[in-house]
Amino acid sequence: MSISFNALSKAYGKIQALREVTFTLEPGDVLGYIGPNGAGKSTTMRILTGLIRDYQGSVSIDGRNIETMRDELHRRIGFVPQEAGFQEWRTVSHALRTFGQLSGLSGQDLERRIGAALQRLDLKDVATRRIALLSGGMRQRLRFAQALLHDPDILILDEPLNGLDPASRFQMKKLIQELADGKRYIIFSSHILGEMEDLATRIAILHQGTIKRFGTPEGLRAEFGLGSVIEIESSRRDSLQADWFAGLPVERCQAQGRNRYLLHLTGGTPVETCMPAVMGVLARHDFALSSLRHLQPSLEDVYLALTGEGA
Amino acid sequence: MNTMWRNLAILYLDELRGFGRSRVMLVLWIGLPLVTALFRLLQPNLEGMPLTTFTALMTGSIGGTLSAVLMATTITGERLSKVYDLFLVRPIRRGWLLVAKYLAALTGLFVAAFLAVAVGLAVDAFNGLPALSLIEAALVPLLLSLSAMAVATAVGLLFGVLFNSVAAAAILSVYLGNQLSAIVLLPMVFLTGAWPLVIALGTGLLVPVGLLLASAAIFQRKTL
Repeated sequence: MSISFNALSKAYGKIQALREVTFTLEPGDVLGYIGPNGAGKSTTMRILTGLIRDYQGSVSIDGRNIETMRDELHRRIGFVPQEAGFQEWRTVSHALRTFGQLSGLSGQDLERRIGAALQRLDLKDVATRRIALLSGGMRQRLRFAQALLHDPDILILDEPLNGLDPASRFQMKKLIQELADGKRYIIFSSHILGEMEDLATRIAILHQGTIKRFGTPEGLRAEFGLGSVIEIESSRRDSLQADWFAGLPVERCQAQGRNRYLLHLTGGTPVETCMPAVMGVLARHDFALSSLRHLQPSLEDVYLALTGEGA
Repeated sequence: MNTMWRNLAILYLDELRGFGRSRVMLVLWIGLPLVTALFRLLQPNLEGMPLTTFTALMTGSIGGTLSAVLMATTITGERLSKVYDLFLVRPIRRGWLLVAKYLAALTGLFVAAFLAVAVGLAVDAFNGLPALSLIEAALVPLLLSLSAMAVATAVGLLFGVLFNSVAAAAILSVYLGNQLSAIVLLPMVFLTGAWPLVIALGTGLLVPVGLLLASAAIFQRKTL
């Protein structure tokens, strides 16, 4: 059981959108597909959904090429496109009914699923409203609702949090976490790396059509030797000297304001082995400690280290 | 019923509902019969031609033009706003979207044409003309009008698939949709006897089928 992308390439005229993209997903994987706008994320997703048919390479699900299993593929995938429109004369529930019917649902089962989707996506109050009158956030929730109707085991979410207000983003992230039930494949793209941190079990970094790295978030942080950071705050505006930490695996000490400091540990240093020594140093210098926190390096740091765009 | 025919039926009924709600169809359903009645008031003498016959001829021109523009603008607009993505990730062939839309538009047009002819028939009958002979006289013009509308609608559909500009698709549909639909009238002009009508109706059937197939083939290759 797996989804394999094998040497996937796609060109639009002279523009090469994807170059030999290769990676494999296991059931339960939540793939964070990261890359700047135009990197090829949507192209990869549209190939998997069958919306793009002319490409090089192959995509296989459970060992079968998707080109030989179109109807089954369409029953198994749910797609939330980045910017798909709706026929605006429809009402919300009418749109869901049509999409549900086309996915093979009917009768009471269909009505039950529509009700559940409206409830889950907080669209119940606008069920009879025409789509033309919906806000951008509501339309995005409707895109989610249509993708979930037939309970697909492969969910493809193209920039699903784009254009949502903070409350809706929180709600959608929670929904994605709920949907990641350990059996379903979820592939979601974003150009905002922070969105991936607490959702993805695997990360694929796409840059100019090429997969730069594929792995777990922890693995990527470790691979790039991005050391952890210890944040220290004083209650008395005590000053902290970098030379206090001589002999400890501390790369540098950075002051942030009058009473906040960041200790950047040498890459690969486990923070739990270093923390007691840091606390000991602070105590020896009678530093009025008010808080001590471990900050993980972000995926953004990984991305910038990889592409050199932060330099 | 297998998935293919079931989904085609769903799409057709769905499009029918959509066209039913569109202003163009409402204009046609109400407008064509209304124009018929108004014409009678403004021009009581149609040089001996019954209003029913005149209406049957007129619907092909007005209805065909409007339908061509409606198809072209709808399809181009929906393609550009990526409406079809959510359909095509389901067990649907791309061509079905076009077939369903075409058949639904044609159904709406035919209803409008019959309503208009019915109004003409009622007005003529009210003026004492025999209904049976009116129907006989209007039958051939009506069939030709329906064929012309079928061609014009298919031309609009092809332009909707071909062009990435709503304005370009609309303008070309106005000009060429109506012009090309006149192809069904050519056998009636240049041939005599019973065959011209058969050829004309055959043209009205085969040309749209050819245009639909061409549109579907182009749509299949188009990057959405």
